[in-house]
Amino acid sequence: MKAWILLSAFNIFVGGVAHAAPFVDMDYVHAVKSGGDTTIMIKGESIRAFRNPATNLTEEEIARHLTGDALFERNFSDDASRFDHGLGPVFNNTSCNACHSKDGRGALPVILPGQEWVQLRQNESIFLRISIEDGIQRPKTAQNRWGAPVAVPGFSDQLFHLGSMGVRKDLPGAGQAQVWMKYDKSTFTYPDGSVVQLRKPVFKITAAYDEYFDSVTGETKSRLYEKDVKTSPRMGTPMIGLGLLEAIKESDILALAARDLSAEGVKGSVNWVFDIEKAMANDPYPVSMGRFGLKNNTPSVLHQSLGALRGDIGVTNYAFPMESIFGTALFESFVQDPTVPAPLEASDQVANDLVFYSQTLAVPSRRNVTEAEVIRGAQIFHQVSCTSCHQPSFVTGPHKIAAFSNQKIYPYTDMLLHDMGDGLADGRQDFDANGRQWKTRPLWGMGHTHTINPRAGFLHDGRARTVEEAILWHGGEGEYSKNKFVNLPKADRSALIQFIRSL
Amino acid sequence: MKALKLMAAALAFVGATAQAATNQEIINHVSYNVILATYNDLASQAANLNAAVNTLAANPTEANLAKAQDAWRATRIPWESSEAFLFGPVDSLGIDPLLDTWPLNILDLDSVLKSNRAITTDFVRALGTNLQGFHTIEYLLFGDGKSANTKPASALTAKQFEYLKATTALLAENTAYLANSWSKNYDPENPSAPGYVQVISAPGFDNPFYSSDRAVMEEFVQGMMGILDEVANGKMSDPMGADINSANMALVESPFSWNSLNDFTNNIRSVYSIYTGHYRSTKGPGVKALVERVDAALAARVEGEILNCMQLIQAIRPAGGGDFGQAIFTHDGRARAQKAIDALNALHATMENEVLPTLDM
Repeated sequence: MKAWILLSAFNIFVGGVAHAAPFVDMDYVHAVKSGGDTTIMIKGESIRAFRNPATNLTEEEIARHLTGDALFERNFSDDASRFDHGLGPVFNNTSCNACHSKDGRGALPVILPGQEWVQLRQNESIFLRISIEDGIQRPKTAQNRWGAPVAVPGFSDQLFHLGSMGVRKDLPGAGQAQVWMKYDKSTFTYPDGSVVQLRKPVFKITAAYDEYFDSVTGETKSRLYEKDVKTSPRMGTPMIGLGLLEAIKESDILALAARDLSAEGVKGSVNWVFDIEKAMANDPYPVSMGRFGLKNNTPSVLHQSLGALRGDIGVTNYAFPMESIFGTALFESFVQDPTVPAPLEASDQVANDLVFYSQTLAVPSRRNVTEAEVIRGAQIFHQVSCTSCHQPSFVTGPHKIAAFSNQKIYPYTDMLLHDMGDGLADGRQDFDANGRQWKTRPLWGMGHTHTINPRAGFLHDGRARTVEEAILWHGGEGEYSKNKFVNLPKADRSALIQFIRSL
Repeated sequence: MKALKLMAAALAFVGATAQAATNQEIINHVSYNVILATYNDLASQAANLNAAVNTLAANPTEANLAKAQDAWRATRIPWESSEAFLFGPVDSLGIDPLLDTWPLNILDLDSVLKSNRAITTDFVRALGTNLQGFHTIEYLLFGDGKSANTKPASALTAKQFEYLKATTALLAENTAYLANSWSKNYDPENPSAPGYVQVISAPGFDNPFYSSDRAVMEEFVQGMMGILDEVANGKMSDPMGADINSANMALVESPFSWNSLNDFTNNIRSVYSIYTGHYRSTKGPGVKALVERVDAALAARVEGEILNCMQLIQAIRPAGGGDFGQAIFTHDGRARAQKAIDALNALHATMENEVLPTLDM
């Protein structure tokens, strides 16, 4: 009976949208092992759902993963006499785990009733990227760091709101500036009259370290407050399945970018980004396909993790040996002699174990796949063309960790950038990604999100409290599917959400 | 074999139906009478600690220092006894790091104490999590823990009192917030959100966190497994290092007060509470009642293993005085610690391989 229903659904959908969409393997409707042989089988919910190593690692690899696990939770210290030295001098958090709590999604800071603005402190899972730009895309050259965002003079390409004691004599514990957040609230009304409250975090920056009072204009000024400075928030994302995403064949992603989905207004493009591994190997053109970061601005787990270790926590390592704020006035006022190179803070072993850990967290299995509502929701998922961008499945190519090679996986992402419309736009370029584009988020593991962190937020800045809110924020290339979703009967909308919760 | 065992258990169960607790009864009891009760105790002990610190600051006698130290130890009990259930608001509201980040950043703390800055709760709130909470208070009340676990009251400076008052006030505030999130409102941004105790005790397909009673039971079991693993392979193994020469005092939790072994014991006490449903004087069904339905011998064996782990941890205490941080620098202390670690790992394996599967029987 079930097979018959599936077959007819398959025929209807493939037949119905064949003119627009290429082949989508409908086996995802029933597939349980989202990460192929790496999948951890989980029946219920628990906060430990994202905390397991891929199940097909060797014993030696599991031991290495566990070493990395302890490092992921390590609170780095700025005390040079300690074994865990390396934090700062400026940073956004003190451990990896602080932003990727239990390897899951972060949450926005709590704004208590009666408060308007809340200051970002330590223990938040969000920070701001910053850069200056003139809106002109240039060819990638060594001079422009292969198309990377242009650092704000005197700052970096990331705003560090925390600092070691002594970095800011005026504000102990503060970094380059203080960051504040409040919500812009709005409502969305469905054609059937149901209303959903939406919220979007907005940020303001105060107390920049270079701030001064301009007595001529009567304004408080900082390079950071100039109009050409672009800022964009980033929320900590789940750590599962990253090695598998790395193993997806580049040709498969390029094929998805080449599809003609113009009937749905969907395009999908690749971000070609600086690749630290190629640079370290003296490749004359160190540029690769971007796969990680909310705008695909890094090509590998190594580049992403070690960049975050140096950036977010301020721990220098072999891939990123200089402090993020090297060469700025703040740095020079803090260190005794800025011309003397400091030794690396993370040993190569620590750096590599962290990368290995980040590559090897298991994707949990799907649950409730035999529930009728879930099966119906899976079919609606395709019917409203979510699958155009949230590509259900791939077969991975070779990976240096054998466990990830040649696996049938169900990540629900095409690994591409899409224009997501005004509502989500940050107006900030990042290599080839423009200010309206974001990478399609993988949906695997989604159903565990709120068990792991009841306040976890979806989308790049964590604004969406529920899957429904996240869908409603889709615009631009996501408009077509969103409109189909909002016009569904309420029962069908909840079935679709129940399917996503089964992932 | 398994089927046979299951059948025998099923028969036993039929016979005992009248007394056997249902999953829902277990979940209710554990949620309300263990978890919520622990958080309420934590908030009330933290309020006592704050009062004791204020008394000490106003009148810095040895007796008042001893009372404040006792109040710190008393607050530590419910907190460490909550570590088998670090799910829900303790994490989503970011409370755990505010209470219990370790190691403490002594370098930065000393630099703040040397500055001329007025120390207020808001000032400390803006500092890092490794400059507030239990271990900051511990360092200020007990000293550096190197050769002794206390210091004379006269060693406390005016600046240290300011810092102590601010950071204990924050500890009281954060623990009250945590208790409130379980009893009344788990999401302060949504006043209609109930206490988390109501959420976790009412699982169902539409519950956004727990879709079935099995899911909550799994959370309970995974929570017990999580702290067993952390005590064995983090809290104890990390400071021990590979051998006596690589033992590292800087990795010991609660090194200043020499309270580590009590911390670890209370961590395992939280496993006992979830498992048996016993918390302080309250008794009721815990996960054991579920295991009993399937395999009464297993149910009793697990309880014995938990109690044994607690005893083995206490047995690490050096005869000549000191605590875990001292024991790991002696060969016989390390041997006793290894025995406890092995028992904890064995219990973890029992939970994973034998207790967890009973959820599906």
